[in-house]
Amino acid sequence: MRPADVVAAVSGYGLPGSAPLPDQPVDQATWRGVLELATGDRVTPLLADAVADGALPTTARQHEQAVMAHEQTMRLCVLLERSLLDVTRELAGAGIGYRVLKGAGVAHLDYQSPAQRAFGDVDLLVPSAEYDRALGCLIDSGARRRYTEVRPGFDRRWGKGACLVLADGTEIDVHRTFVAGPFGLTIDLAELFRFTATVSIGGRELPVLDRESRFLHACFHASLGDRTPRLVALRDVAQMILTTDLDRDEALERARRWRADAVVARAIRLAWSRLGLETTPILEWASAHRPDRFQARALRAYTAPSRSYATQVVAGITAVPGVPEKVAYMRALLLAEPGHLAQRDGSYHRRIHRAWRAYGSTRSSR
Amino acid sequence: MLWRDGEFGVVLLPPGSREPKTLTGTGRALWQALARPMTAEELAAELAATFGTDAARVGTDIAPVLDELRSMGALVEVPAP
Repeated sequence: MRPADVVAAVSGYGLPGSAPLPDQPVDQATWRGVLELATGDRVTPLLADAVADGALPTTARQHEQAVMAHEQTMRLCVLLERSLLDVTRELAGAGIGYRVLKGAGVAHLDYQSPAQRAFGDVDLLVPSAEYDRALGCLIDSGARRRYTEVRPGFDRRWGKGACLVLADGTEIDVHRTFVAGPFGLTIDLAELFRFTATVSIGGRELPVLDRESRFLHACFHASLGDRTPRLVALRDVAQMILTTDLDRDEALERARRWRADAVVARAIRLAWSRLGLETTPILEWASAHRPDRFQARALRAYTAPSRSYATQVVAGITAVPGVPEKVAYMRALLLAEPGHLAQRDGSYHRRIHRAWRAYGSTRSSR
Repeated sequence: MLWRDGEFGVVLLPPGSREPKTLTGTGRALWQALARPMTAEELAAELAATFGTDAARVGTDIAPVLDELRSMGALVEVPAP
């Protein structure tokens, strides 16, 4: 088996209907690839589990390396949780509401043990109305923005959020919504703050999305987040479907309200395909799903070979309600701040060209 | 206290610290046993039963580990009920 095939199978380890693993230790060159890919795709905990259980036969040296990789990953996770506790203390102290997203929340609530789920940053959701104040609060406490905002006020009205960097290099993603572009604009953000749960971390109870919204976020991340989704993102989708009491009907109902059922269907298809899981009724639903015109066009902004941040934000115009708002949205994009242009696209003209070309391609490929 | 448990042992990040520590070997069993409040003697007896050895010997071996966990703030002593 190639390293990528081994890591994909490992990523489904422990799930019902997971793919078979090699029945004898792989050679050293393959193993090096397995370790590297597992680290990049944040599935070293699953690799360590498969090795510890004897499901993935290894040499003694390979076994030791899997254990060491798991330990290193977990050391990072507890450090990130410390940052999470610090940052949420600042927000709570300023009276700013928030929800913990992805990594830490999912690790503690959707896996049998938090040691099975690795993560590499801290993600928080804040209400649009408190977005500027949340960023100001964290910047006052020493964080700095990684990217300049498109235009002052753009993020609060239409943006995905901002990446902040703490003094120690820890990245804090402060989200206003799940993704940039059209699918980030159709989510009912108030609903995310209405359906909530809590997670206990370091002796504190922190607010998180409820399981159905966590599942939807996992689907958004797996479907739209990266050109090639990390295996951990796909595992999250399958994990919640196959091992938790997720209310699938409720989750799908929310997705339809957000005009994002195609995002869920795509995430399920990707997860089952990449992890090599056995067919289940939900996969049959996902395979048979046909997106409506809005969703088909919106999906292309995230999945086409020309995919870029510019493509997504320009395609977002289709989801902005009303002509005056659409005009304001396009105006903000076309008159972006010089700092933003320099960080994202290199030059103003290049940005304009790319944005319009992207918008044109989503229209013409209907 | 922030921590993770695995075959590597137990990674601990005490309050106020930015440097995780890893309990290895029997430290993992010790940490798991301490999920329930117990006296040092009860802990030694439980670990001795787990590893098939003498409780007095275990008590001597774990004393410095318990001291370190206490100093890290990972372990809190409470009055016996």
